[in-house]
Amino acid sequence: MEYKPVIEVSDVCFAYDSQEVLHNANIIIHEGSMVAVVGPNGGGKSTLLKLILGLLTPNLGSIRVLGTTPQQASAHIGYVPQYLQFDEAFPVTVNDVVLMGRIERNFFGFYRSEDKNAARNALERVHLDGYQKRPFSDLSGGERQRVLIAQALATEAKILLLDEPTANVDSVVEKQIFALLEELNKEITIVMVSHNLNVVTSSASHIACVNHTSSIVPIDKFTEADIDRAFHPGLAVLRHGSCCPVIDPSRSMSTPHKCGDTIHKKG
Amino acid sequence: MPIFLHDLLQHSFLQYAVLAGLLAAISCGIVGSYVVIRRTSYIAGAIAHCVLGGMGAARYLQTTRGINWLTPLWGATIAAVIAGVIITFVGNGEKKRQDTILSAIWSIGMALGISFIAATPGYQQDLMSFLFGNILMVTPGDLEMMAVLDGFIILVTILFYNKFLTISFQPQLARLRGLNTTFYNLLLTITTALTVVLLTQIVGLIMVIALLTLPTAIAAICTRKLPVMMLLSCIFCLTLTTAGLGISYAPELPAGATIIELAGASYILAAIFKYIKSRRSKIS
Repeated sequence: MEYKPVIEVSDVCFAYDSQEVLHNANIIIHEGSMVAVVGPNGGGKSTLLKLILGLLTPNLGSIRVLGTTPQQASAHIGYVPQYLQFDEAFPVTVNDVVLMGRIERNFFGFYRSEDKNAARNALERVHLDGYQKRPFSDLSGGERQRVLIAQALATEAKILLLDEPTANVDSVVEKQIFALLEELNKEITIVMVSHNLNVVTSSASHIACVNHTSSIVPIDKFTEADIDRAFHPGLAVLRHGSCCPVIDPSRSMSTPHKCGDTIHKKG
Repeated sequence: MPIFLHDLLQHSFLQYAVLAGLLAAISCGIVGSYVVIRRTSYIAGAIAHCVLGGMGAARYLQTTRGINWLTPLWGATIAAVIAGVIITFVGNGEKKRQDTILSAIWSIGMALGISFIAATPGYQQDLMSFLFGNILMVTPGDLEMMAVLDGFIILVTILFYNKFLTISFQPQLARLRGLNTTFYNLLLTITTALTVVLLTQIVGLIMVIALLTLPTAIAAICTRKLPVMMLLSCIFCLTLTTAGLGISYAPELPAGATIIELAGASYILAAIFKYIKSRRSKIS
């Protein structure tokens, strides 16, 4: 079955000041897919996410989201940040946080009943009904992450972008969150940055490797060569029950990058 | 205290003072909560000190140019709004050193104020009441203006409550959802500036930050819900200003300083209470 593309990243280059982070990045994401963005730290995963969100603009190349610019499409993108970014002591309830996903809908800050219904509905979808009045800071890490997913759902987004949704949660909670995302993926396109190939490869439909440049492969065609391209060669990866041996990390760190010279001067 | 209560019924200046405390407490509770949860007391501090420039200039123009409507309260209001605008447009931005800009505003405002007061014939004693407050000198005209400022602050914070909550908690989300975050930041900073002006009437500009943050800090120990925090903070602020006034009145202590000492002591007690409570809940 052919799905239409919802995110098209074409030949994008982006540099912070003089340091080029992305070079000729190309990614096409189709409707209904669940894409895991993987790659080493500093390889440009978060930058790619910010470009798709329209928080940054590419130096070269173009990005189309839902057939338009990222800025215009931003109303249809639900962004899920990491829960750890937030002030622990901030006095907000779960309901406050979820409703913030609909903050732009009314000129004055009052929410209508449709907003409140959408928030209740979103909380039900992440299995947190009954949590409305709880202080956000009372919740566990996994619960807070689910509240933030509910916030993105409350925006009635067509695409969900998640930045390391399972960072700082234990493996049980991680499985719960991925199960939830798989469930949500039946209706919504999901793009998530993740460092954990292990869990990602069992849920995702596609893997996007971002290491200054990028490539995207369907999960069934995902091979160790792709992992090598994304990371340093020889990194241990567990996937679909199969397991590769761990190679001495000090050796893998000293081997040259296979993808060669990807950082070069701007312009 | 009995002398205070007796005189309160007799003298209108005391009634004005108590009324000023009430008016200040309303905005103190609401805006103080935003200052505490957004951790922007340094912004409030910069505005408070810079206000001296406006007060000094107003007094100078009043005396030398005969512009009678330009009271120090008006001067303070204008200076505070200008400072708020500068802080929002120059000081905001991820890569800027906001504290440097705030320090500049803080000290330039004070320097201008001192120069203006030095150039004003006669009124040297003004400086002390600007710096440390003089709640017993509040005039009916000041009260009217305080009431108007209060009205503005209450209206803005009710209308934009959820917007302010969002830009404070999740500024990135606010931007992504297409909110004009600069506008709301400006509105909130100006509201803070006006509150600072109101509070300088009570405790003077040096001790404003204490009155703006301590009642809210005590309220934050009691609750984790913002509307409740605001209400409690108003009540604490009113209690502290009135009690401070009452205690300081008969022995002729400085009212502003007494209010702040009372607020400080209450905060320390509340913090100790919280510490003991959390220790107990950990043990059990």
